[in-house]
Amino acid sequence: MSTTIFPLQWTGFSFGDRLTLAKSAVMDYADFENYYHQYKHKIYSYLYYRSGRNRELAEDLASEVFLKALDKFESYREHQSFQAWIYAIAHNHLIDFFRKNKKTVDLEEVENLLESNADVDRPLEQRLASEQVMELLDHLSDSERELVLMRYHQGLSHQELAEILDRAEGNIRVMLHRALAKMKKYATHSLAAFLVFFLI
Amino acid sequence: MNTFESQIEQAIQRLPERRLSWMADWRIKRRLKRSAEALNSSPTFRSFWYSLAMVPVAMALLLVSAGTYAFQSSAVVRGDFLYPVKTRVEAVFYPVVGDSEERVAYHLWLSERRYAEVGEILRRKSLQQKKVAFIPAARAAESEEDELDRLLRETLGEAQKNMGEALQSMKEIKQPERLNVVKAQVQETLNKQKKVIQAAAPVLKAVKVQAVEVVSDESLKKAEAVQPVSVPYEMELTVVPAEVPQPKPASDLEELVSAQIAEQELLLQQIVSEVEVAEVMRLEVEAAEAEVAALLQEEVMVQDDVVEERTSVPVIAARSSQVPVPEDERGAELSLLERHDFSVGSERALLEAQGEIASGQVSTFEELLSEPASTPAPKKSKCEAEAEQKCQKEEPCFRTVLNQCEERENQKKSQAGPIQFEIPLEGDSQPAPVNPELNQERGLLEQH
Repeated sequence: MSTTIFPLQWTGFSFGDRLTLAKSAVMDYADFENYYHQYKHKIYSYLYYRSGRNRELAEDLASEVFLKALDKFESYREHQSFQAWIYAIAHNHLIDFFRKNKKTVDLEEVENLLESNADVDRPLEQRLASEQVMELLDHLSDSERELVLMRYHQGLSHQELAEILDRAEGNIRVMLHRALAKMKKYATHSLAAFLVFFLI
Repeated sequence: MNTFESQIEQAIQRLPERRLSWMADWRIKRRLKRSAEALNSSPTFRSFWYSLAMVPVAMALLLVSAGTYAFQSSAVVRGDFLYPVKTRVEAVFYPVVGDSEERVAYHLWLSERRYAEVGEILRRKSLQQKKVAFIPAARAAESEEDELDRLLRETLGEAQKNMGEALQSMKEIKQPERLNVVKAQVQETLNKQKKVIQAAAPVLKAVKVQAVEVVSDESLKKAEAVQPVSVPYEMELTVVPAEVPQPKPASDLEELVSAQIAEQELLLQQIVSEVEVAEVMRLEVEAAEAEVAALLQEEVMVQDDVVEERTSVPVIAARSSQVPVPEDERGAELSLLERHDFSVGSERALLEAQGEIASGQVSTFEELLSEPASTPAPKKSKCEAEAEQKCQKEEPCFRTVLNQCEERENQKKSQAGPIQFEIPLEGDSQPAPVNPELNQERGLLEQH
């Protein structure tokens, strides 16, 4: 696969070169389309959980992320993991989005959307378990929540996480450990409170 | 990994996988496709061919716009980059299938355009031009003069050439009405050109380019002392009318063009007069033809009423001797002419018939009318037949009966009173009276 989707300069290219580049551009767009079909649900899911489970917002964000990815597709190198590359774009886009729209995220709306249509069909146990997990996740910081979701929900490796978050792999492991410990702590506290409430 | 952590991990993994709705999927794909096509820096296959197809279109547009500018603008003059384009575009308008009138109009149009260019050349050269030359200013001025003179000569020469071609095309116009219209146009153009030449006369009489050296004298001297030829001179060039016209090679331009215009005016008058004379002659011929046709029509109408006895040789003889001929005899003359295979009204037939009679080949007009091929054996007269029947080839009896019969026939003829004409054969001493009507008729026949 040619890694250059967009020949940057027309000048200096012969007719044959231009034809080849144009053909490769078409082929590269087809490649990108393949990647899109492969990762569209994962990215959407990641954005969904990261955006407070707002479906419409997650769709808009997904659209913007893939447009940005298309725009930067020329910078993608073949030896790279596409998953890491696209998650990095999504992560950065989310950071930008939250920076710009920090005050505009309606928490009430987010709360109302907790039970989406997809959850209705699921068994109650699973729904309760999911709610508990989400509650525990809410006690984490943004970066920790993102890390945990990426690692355990999206299934990214430590190496990919290190690449996306631009940190050392060991650092990622430590962060994950801390996040889980935090979740455990809150879970223990909530269990103790539950027992106290139950005994009283 | 402890149990809690693994439980948490499993719980997170069991979180439902969110899937993009098909509507959102379709919307995102559409946006991606549009974005890929719209990005300037993304020459997709489609945009590449589009831009490739635009190259000849852009070139065509460039050519058309350059051609339009060159054609429309009188500022494009000989020596300019776009001048060949201008002349090519002008050549497109040559009326290939047009008539002479259109060709005259075309050449007049070209001639006027060249004169407009003369004005532009003079205007352009009159502007002060600051130039840097590597030759002395006087020499630069001479060079400018030569260039100006060449441009003017070529442009005016082409204008005059077009005017000449217009006049040549004008010769082909034969209708006086159209010719007068064209003549007015040509005359108007010539008048305009005369005005242009008169206005430009002060410049044309003595084309002089004044070069004013801007550099100071001292620096010039210093520079010339070092390098006399290759010193750059900064100077202002301008065309000025000379106070005292000095004869130069270019000074005859005004006289030359004026003389050419005068010649063309003369030629114009000549063409018009030639066509007018030709038209008068044509009208006269038409009138004569009409008159002859009317006369012949009249003769054909009376032909049926003509008595055969009157179509005798004396009638023809009387005609040739210019004796007044009664109207009734004209039909006989017509039939005679037709039998001799000549055109109707030809005098040659008359003369031929007269010659035959004079030479004794025939004695009567009836004999002349009779076809020699159809009547190879001479017919026997009535009296001869009678005498032959009565006398059976006995000579004395035959003669007697024949004489008696002829006398009897003559008496019958004299009693009937036929019109008798004298036969003016050759050698007849009496001059025939001159008939003015016949002379007029003969004149018309000659013209025809």
